[in-house]
Amino acid sequence: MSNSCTSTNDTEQSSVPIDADILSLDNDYSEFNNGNTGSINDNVANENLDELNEAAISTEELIPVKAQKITEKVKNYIHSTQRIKDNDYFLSIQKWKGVITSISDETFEAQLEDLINSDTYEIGEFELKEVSPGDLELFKMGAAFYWSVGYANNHNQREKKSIIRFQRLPSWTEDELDKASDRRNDLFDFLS
Amino acid sequence: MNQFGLIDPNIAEIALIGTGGGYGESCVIHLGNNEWMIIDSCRDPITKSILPIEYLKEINVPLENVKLILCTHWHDDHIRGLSKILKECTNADFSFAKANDLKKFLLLISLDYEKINRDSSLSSTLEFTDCLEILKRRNSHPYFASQDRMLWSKEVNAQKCEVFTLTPSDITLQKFDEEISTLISEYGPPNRKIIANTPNSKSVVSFIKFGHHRVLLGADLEISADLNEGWDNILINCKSIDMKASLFKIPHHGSENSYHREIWAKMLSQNPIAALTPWNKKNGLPELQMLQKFQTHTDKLYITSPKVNLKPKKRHRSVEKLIKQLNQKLTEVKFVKGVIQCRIKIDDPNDEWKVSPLYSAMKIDSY
Repeated sequence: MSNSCTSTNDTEQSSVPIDADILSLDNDYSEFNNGNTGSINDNVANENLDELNEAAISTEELIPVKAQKITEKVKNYIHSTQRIKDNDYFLSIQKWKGVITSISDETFEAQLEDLINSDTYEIGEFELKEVSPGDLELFKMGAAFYWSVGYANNHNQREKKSIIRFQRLPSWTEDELDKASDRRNDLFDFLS
Repeated sequence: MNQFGLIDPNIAEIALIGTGGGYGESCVIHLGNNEWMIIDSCRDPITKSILPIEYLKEINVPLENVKLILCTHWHDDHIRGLSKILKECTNADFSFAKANDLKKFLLLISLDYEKINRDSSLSSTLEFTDCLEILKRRNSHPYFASQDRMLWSKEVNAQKCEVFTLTPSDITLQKFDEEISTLISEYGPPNRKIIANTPNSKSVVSFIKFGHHRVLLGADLEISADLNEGWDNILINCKSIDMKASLFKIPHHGSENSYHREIWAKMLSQNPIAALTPWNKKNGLPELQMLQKFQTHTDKLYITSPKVNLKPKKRHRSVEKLIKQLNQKLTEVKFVKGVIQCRIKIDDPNDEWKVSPLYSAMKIDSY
């Protein structure tokens, strides 16, 4: 499962390995805190015994080193959280590309391609009110949209989110229309 | 296994290939003398293999023995993989229903083709356009399918084997010209995908004659309000139907709108072989009441795969949970391959069809 984090204030997507940092931090913290007294636990002591002998460092002296490493990690984490919490962001955990296939009074149906595992496709039913006001002009049969589900971070409050964004493509250029016209003429000459 | 062995040149074969609905369907036909025909195409969405080609390879038929390819509809959903079939079947003629206003129709598909450069997933006619390009490169002109058009005629063991198309009618072609303008204005823009409309009166129905045996392949044809279109037009106006068919491919997944009592009464023999493909979307087709209706006409009813319960796609538990919590309704269109293989001796008027349901295909005894 891929996780990606999007800052909703950025125009570009940026990947922030937040979860990886948290995991690493948790591992370090539990390793350090096993003794609850501030003394290093036996396993770590045994692992580092050879090192201790070689470096002639006492057990007591190892503790500050470990604590220092963890403190640095905590500082980095706080720093990164501080940087991000100024922006709201959306963590998408599943994404689809959809095409509207039918519209009724309050709902619409779409054929959905899973953008993570695109083998079989799915049919999704959505409520009309899920369409953003800014996208209503694009809301038509055959219109394409991206649908993501995940978690939004809103002023450090996490909430579940479903987001639909319609695809915006500029109109045909003259060059593209010329190409279509040329292809049409070639095929017509051949078939008629 | 016999059904995958080499076929006798005197044996006619109709193999209906289904995908469970949503990934197309296809028919592979032995016309006699090791000459073959393919109608439409379908593809395995997981392996991407083209199912008619896969089938022919399984029964050891070289692709150069395919002599005719019929495209019953220009929308990709019905013919996925067809351009690859045409490319590999180098000896095959190609047939499709022509539009009267050909230039306008070609503009529609040419605009649709330009979507490749913007977002290829929004194009719906790539396969069809690719087929035309292949024909152009080969300088091989297509046969245009229409009412009572003969596409094939050869003798097998002194028996005539012929392929006729029964649709589209002249009125359908006329109406389609008007529809093309609407399609261009609605789906011409680069961010719109063509959604195939119903009723599908343009779908090409074929009628095949093997000596004294007849086969009616109903494609996706539905009933139209206009008697000059759809099944009513076939029943009233078609001239190439000379005998009743003993094998019937039920149209449009057995939908209510494709059922016409007169087809069974006038075009089909008593207790014919009837085969259909399911449609596993929405409420699914065929509906139970339709199966029961078909069973009043025949006890030899076959389906390429059973209807499946519509469920969401399997995903990581946390993703499934989130989707459920957001109250989103999602169902997976499952791929289920099934083949109904039917064989009969061309030169024996008393022979009966031998039917082999393969993969997920089954006979419907009771529903």
